[in-house]
Amino acid sequence: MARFFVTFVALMVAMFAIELQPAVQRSLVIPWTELLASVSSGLVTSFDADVAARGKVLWNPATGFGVSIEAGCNGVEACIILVAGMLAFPASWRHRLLGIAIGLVAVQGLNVVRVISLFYIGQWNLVAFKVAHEYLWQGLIMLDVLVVWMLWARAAGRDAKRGTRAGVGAAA
Amino acid sequence: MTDSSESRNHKATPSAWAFFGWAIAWFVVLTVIWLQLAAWAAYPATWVARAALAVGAPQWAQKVSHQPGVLTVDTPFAAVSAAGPSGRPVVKPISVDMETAALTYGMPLLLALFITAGRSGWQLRVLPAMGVLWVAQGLCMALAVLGRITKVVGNAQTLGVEPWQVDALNVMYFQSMVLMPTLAPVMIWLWLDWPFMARLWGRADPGDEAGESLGN
Repeated sequence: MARFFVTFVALMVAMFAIELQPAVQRSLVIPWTELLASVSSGLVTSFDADVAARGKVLWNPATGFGVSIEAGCNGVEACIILVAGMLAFPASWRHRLLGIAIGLVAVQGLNVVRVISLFYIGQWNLVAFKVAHEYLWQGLIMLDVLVVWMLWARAAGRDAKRGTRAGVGAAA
Repeated sequence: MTDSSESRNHKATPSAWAFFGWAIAWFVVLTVIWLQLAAWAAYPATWVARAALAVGAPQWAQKVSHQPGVLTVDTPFAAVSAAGPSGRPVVKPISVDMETAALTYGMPLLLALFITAGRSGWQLRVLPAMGVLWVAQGLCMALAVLGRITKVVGNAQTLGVEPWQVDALNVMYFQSMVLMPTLAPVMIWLWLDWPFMARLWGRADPGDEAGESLGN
């Protein structure tokens, strides 16, 4: 357990150090954030025509209210934590790669829900927006990361047991 | 022939989805309650922050005062603003305010995880967990204050530090404000409730260190 925590923290610190490099921000993080805004806008316009997106801003031209997706809201930090958790936990590389691919979709999927919900909550009530934005959604995203990792780690254990039984069967 | 310990363990395996659902429900309820008490619930973390600033950065935090909900730090630095009514530039001392709730909202998450896991004796483990979280929150609060000071002053030479130290403080400010409030409670809970995770993963002996290597 201690080994897992130490490895997890070390991997997380290393990945954050890489993520904060200007070249990584320019080539990956900022384009990702703009894509997130576009995806959110695309989904919302399927049922609400009064939405526009430019860069990392999603706004309603009719009311003038908009949300800007900044660092901390683009899901990148949550994804780094999830990846660090999967790399630090004992599992096969195949299982890790599969988990990372599915996990990133799960986390970013919920993040899109976050962006869209905050967009509408902000138009309804600014106090509710502050609570949802600064407290509730931050916790919910972390819970999402935790549960995705928990499910993946459980599957990793079952995968390993199947592999062990197959090995024992072959040896017998 | 099935192994009896394995079958007992299989019956006891909690549902991850049920855990997720109940954790969300408890987190939302406890956050709503916490919001009513946030200004006072942050006091333990604020005491830690004040001590950390007094010991670690007395040259920057000349005076630290605390009203419910807000930590105010007076610095020795000053800002020169545009000409005032007299026509002369106004020199104003720089003070930094920190909303304490912004760093302490992880407590409902910690409590929600312990309550949802519901492992025997969780009421005894939650108290030291809260203590550890208050210390973590207080240290993050102190780092966030220092980071905010560097942002407001904006000049390494004025601050009396190297540029890389300013960059480091900016990074720590971001991590303290965005990441640590929710990551710290999850890590503290995981550390103290690891046997719950082992049960969820269907392991026979949660305390078995060798058993941690699932597949390695």
